[in-house]
Amino acid sequence: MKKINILIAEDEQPQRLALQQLIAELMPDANMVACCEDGLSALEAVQQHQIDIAFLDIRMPGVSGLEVARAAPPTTQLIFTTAYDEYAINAFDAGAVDYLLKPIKRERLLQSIERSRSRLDLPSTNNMHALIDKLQQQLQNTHRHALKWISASVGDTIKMFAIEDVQFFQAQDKYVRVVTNADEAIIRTPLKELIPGLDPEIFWQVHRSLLVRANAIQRVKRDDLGKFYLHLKGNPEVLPVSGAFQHRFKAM
Amino acid sequence: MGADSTSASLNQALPSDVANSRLGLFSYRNYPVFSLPWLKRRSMLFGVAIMIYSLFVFVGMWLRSKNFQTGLFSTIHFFLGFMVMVSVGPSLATWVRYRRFRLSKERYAVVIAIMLGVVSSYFADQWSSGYLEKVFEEQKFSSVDAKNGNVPRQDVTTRIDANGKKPAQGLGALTVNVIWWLVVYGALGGGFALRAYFSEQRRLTESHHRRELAAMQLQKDETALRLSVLQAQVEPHFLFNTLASLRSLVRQDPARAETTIDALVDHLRATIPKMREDTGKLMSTLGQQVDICSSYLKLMQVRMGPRLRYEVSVLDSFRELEFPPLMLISLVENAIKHGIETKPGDGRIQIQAEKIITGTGEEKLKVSVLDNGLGLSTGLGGGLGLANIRDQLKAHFGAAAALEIGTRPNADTIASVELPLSMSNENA
Repeated sequence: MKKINILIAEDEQPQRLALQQLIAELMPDANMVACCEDGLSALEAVQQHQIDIAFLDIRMPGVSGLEVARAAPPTTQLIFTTAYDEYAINAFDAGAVDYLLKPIKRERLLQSIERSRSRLDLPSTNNMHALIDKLQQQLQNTHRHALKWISASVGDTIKMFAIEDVQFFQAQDKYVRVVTNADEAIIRTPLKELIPGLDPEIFWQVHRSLLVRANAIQRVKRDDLGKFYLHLKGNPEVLPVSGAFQHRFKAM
Repeated sequence: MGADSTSASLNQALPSDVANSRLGLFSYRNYPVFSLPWLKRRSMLFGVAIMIYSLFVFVGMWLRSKNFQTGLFSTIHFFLGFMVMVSVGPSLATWVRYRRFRLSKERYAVVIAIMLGVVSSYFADQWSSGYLEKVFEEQKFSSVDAKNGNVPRQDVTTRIDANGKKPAQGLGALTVNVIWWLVVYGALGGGFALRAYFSEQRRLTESHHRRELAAMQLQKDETALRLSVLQAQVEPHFLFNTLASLRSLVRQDPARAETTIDALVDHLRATIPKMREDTGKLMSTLGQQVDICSSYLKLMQVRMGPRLRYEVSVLDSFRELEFPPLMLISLVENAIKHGIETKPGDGRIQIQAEKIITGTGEEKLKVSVLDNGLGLSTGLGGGLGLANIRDQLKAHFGAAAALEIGTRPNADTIASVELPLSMSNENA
């Protein structure tokens, strides 16, 4: 009889052990290829071995179950496990992928195993990635909104800054200056990547290399050559406005 | 309901959103219309205004008649006549309001009082104007020697109206006159007040509704916050995951299952009953929050095994200090999630509380969570937990509180919250 290759990714040791035992009991033809305690080793395992059925915990430290699933070949049947992710579960109801709610019950596990087994020989439906993208998006919607914090270096210390405290971001060579009322730090994330997370009504791009908090601007000055400069509240630094962005201040 | 709220508080100032005006001179409008404080302030204002006007009249009459006594008597007539005109109606209406009739009856009575005031205004005007005219006539006779003979007694309309309107004749004229003096005497003798009186009830009811609505909104916000506090303290994912581990442990390691259940019970006990005790207030004490963290850490220790160690150094004397809910446990969860869980090897978490003196000499409470985990790396974050802590601190303490998170090389990651010590006084 052909053995079925199984992978389990679960960060809690007792749960991992229990799932392993239960699968061995319910599937005499199971070949336990990998029992991983974190996402990273699961990621390696799905790429190295020909896994038939993968049991993936969605929330794992480091690499999540969804990222592991993305790396798996289309022939691998995926069964996600989760303790409580109501939004994610809604997406599973599409039926292409199976999921188990923790604590995992014996009957429900048997059902999932049978379903996956029956799909093993079918040609893959191949819409897996789209579904995983949708899931990831939903998880992000519930857990993450716009950019709230920035971890940046002040000397050899790394500090967290709330976006609300930032006066401006200025790109310089390989890094970006993050300037707040009280502090100044640097970050290696390029301005391009910062922009999508920031509200364009709050942070105005006034220069190719400058994002300024609109209500930190005290006044706009124009020099003899007609160039615009910004003066900030509580900060002596004067910032240039480049030609393409001057229209913002023309009406002022 | 609305009627009770007015009559019960006739002598008290109206809520600011009901009062018509707040300026010093017009402060009578801050009181219920036809109440004693209203009448007193209104009479003062009108009295002073009429007094000033009378002074001019006095000077004019004295100069014209060249007789001090005539000037004085005319002025007294003028002043008294005017005062009766402006105050009889309102005084009667005030007397009516203190009878505490039913609202509908009171309204009729107030209208009658103002009408009586209008009638008495007419007589007062007749009396004072009559006197003044007599003086004028005597003047004309003596100084101009009666060139035109008798000056016809002018109609009330032209006297008060003074816009050159010709005295009307006949029945039509009488009607016009009656309407005119109703309007003029009405305006002087409490007509505007009458309008304010009728709208006052509505304004009071509206204000009452507004305040009720605001109170309900506040209550709703607090309930929502309390619910989110409860939910966040016992995060569902955490709870179900713990139960899943427990279920697995029951057969594998019954002794450890038992320890886990004990730790879970302690944690739930530290979290849940606090909500019931705290109904009515959202602040909790540092002691309660530290207990929640300790039981959480103990439970995590049971789940993660001996690789997690933790230490709580908070003086007993700090335990009773007020401390907002949710913050400390969020910081501890963050330390576990981002610091310890992702890093192989031993993890250590410390909770510390200390009193510090800031640069400006203020005494503050500083509570810190330290972990020897992975440490911060530069990058972007959308973490709502930290943003919530920040928002909550801002809402309660404004600029007086701060949240700081940082990692030095080869040192612990420190997340600390600084609050003013006398928090209950700082609550805005």
